[in-house]
Amino acid sequence: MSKGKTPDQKRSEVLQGTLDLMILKTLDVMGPLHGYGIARRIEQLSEDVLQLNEGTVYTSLLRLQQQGWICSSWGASENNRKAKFYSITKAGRKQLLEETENWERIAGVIGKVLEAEGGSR
Amino acid sequence: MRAVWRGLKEQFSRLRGSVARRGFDCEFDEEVEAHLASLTERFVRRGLSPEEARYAARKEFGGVTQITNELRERSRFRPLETLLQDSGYVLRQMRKSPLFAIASILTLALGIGANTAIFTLMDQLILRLLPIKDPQQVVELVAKGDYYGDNMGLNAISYTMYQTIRDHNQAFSFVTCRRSVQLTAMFPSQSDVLSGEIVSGNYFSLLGIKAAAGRVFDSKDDLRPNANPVAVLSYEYWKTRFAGDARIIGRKLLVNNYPLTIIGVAQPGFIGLEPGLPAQLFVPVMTTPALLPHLDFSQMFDPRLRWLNVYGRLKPGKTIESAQAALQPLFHQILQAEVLQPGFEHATAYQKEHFLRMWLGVIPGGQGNSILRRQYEKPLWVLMGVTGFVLLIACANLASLLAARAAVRQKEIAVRLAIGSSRARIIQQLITESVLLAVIGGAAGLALATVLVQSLLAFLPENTTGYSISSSPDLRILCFALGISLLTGLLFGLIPALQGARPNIAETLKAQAASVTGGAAQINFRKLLVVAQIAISLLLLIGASLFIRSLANLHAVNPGFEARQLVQFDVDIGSAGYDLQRGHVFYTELERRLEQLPGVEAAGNASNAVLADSDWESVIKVAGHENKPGENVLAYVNRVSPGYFKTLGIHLFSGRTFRASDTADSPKVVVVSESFARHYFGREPAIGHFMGRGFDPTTPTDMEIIGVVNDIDYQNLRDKDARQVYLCAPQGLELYATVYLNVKGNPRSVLASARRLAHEMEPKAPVTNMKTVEHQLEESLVIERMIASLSTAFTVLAVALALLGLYSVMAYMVTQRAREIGIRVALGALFGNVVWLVMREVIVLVAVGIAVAVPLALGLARSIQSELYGISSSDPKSIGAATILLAGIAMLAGFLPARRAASADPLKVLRYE
Repeated sequence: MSKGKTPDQKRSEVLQGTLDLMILKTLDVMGPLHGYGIARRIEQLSEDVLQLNEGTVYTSLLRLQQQGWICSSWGASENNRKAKFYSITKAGRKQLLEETENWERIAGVIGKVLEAEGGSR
Repeated sequence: MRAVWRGLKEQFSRLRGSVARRGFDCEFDEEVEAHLASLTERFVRRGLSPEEARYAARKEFGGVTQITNELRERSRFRPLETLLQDSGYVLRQMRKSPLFAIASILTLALGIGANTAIFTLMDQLILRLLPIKDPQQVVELVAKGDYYGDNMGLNAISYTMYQTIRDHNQAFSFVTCRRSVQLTAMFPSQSDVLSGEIVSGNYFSLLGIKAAAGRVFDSKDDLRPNANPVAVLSYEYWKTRFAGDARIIGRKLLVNNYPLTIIGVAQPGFIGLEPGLPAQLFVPVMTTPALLPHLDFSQMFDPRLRWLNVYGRLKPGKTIESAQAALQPLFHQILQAEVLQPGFEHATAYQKEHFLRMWLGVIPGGQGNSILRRQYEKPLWVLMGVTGFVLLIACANLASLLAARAAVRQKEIAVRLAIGSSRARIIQQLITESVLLAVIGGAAGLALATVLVQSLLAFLPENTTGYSISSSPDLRILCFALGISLLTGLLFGLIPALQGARPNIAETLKAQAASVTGGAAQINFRKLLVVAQIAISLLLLIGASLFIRSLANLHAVNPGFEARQLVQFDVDIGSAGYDLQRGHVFYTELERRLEQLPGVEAAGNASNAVLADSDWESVIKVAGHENKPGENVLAYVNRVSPGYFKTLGIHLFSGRTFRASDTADSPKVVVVSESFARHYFGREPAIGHFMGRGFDPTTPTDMEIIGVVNDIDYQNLRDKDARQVYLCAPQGLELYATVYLNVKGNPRSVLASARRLAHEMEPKAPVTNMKTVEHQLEESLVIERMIASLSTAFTVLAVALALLGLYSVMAYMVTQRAREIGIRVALGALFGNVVWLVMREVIVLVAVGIAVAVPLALGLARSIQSELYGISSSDPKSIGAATILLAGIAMLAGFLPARRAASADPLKVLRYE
């Protein structure tokens, strides 16, 4: 099965696993949101740098739910459509904290490595 | 570790998802729909036409179908999904060929049921731990080696040794002692014969047993002899005898004519430490002298008398091995001290040396002390082996059937493989079928097992019903049945599944449906199974014939007395408060009046019943006989009344038997058996010699041998305990007796009148164990009879299954070769030629099976030698007869398809082809 890719090469693909982190953060900051809302928020923040199939938000949501990091309940959206609202759980907050630290550490290391490599040229 | 946890969490969540699947699927669709609608609206607001907007939304979202599919996929527990799917498929298949399903489920039910039934018995008689606190920490102490002194019972230890170990060991947090005794509780109108347990004060605290009412003993109840006459009831006895009345606590209970105060009731389910004799009444060790006149003060504290079982609770961190090692120095200190005591002043250097070489064994005690367990352990393992073999044969049959079915299904499987199904998926499906069959068969087997256990219990004699074996399955039995079913399913399903999932796709698809054959691999596999079945059935057949002949040998044994005309019953006059003098008068009068009953020819009594595994042995000292070091100087002893020899029909060789004139005041006299006389006096006459009883060399030899009688089987029919000494009833100290009646005609006819007479003479003396001696003899053979009949029944089942297997494989081969045979017949082959063509195969299979089985049988039979009597485990006659029998019926099973093939009309066969 081949995944559909857009020809737009300037947009970066979302790194494996980072979507989960972004969704957790989004839910932590914004409070309960439905899938569409999450997609909009990420789109807005990433300023169209990230290329995202919005459907993958749902696989990510399912994964987070299965780990017990978020929970969901049905409600009505702003335009009165029936929608499932997701909110972060206590375990999810803990996970977010850990993952954020982890991310920052790795990002720092990678940044240093890239700088150093660049310097040697 | 964390990843594993996450994985588990996810699978669990999926499992939940699977269960609530319908709702989930809809939710995904709704959610995605809503998202798409919102996106579309957004694009419409940006100015796209609805058509374009919808398209853009779908593009933005990504593959809608893929995502929803992926969501569905991820939300489910795959193994469960496929399992349900496969099970549905299998059930549909079963409905299509119900005969196959019924046959296999029945076969499995028999195999699994037999195994579960035997396991139920094993579990309850042998494996189960007692309902006490942390039973695996409880150990029993056993003194091993050559003891110097008297011993009463299995694994017994003296009270003084118990005290020293209790006070000075480092290995145990508690040490306690106990002994099973028979007690009589007397009520105004009747007496109850009770199974009692003499226990030390710390007994209940060691075992962690609480009181259901009142309190249980503590160490203050067991300080000085006869100072605290108290008793604790078992919960069961409290409920049945006193209707669970709490007011009973504090009341007096007259036990063996001695008043005890009931202080409490033990917690429900607790029956003491001898599961074969569930205790109804617990009494402190220190009440022993009052309750049991034959164990007075001097004897109970005599280091030379071993009469108690000693148990300890291991301290945390201690193991059986470390405790055993830690106890040896203490044990040897005790031995060293004992050897210097007066009890040893007449012991020989040889005896002392051997006494000091003893050591203290520590064995698991969580199952309590059980003679029954020792008796049944080996036979039950043998039966477990037999039923295991039966199940293997059943597995072979099913494997063979499944292989044949897989061959028939090859076309279907080839098609599925060709259109992209994975081989693993097909194997999984085939195994699901076998496991499902096995589980259904197992459930039926479990039901069958309850019935089987009930009929097995009928084998056990009445005196073992104390074990209260329950036939209804508990969790352990359920687990066993489920486990064995799953294992069985895998065992018979795996190879056919592997074979079935590997067809040559191109060849199979090309071929005509009708001519798809199983191929050589399938046939060879089935032949291999037939060989295995023949071999296993032969093993079982040889085993069964050995057991049957062993039982026949035991039945043919002449016990040395006339068992057929005898009735026996026990009368315990001591518990009615009689002393020796009055007791003797009672028994003499009872015998006199019994002899006047119509039909009774003679009456006599003995302190110990015959064929009941009584183990009254005594060291014998014969005047003028020098004991050689290591010489066996033990003889079996019984105390009998003058009428005993005539009643049992024991033959007098020389001298005389006892008379009424042999009384407590007249010179002491004994009668000895032939083997005894031969051992000590050879060809010289034994009459007139003197002997005494006791290991002490100063033992007076004041008993005159007045008669020599024939040897009898005293303990049981198996053991030749021929050296016997009879003491004269009035010259000793027994207040209980087994009364024997020799009856003309049917011995059962006097049972009621004898009981009435005994009760009339003394209503307080309980009459128990009334039965014919023939019945007692049968009871003494219960284990042998159980093994012989069960192994025969299981063997018949096994042979029938094996023959069915042979028949079906041969029948299948004949159908496969119908065309070839048809051509042969058309070309002039005779009936005999065709039969030979088929029988040749049968003979090879049977011969290979026999060739495998006979050496195996010789090896395996050695392990059952101890269960056989009067026959060698490699008895050529039994092996030969079993082999010929099996070969004969196997030939017959093979001949049926051969004859059908030979008598088929070749024209019809060829035209059909």
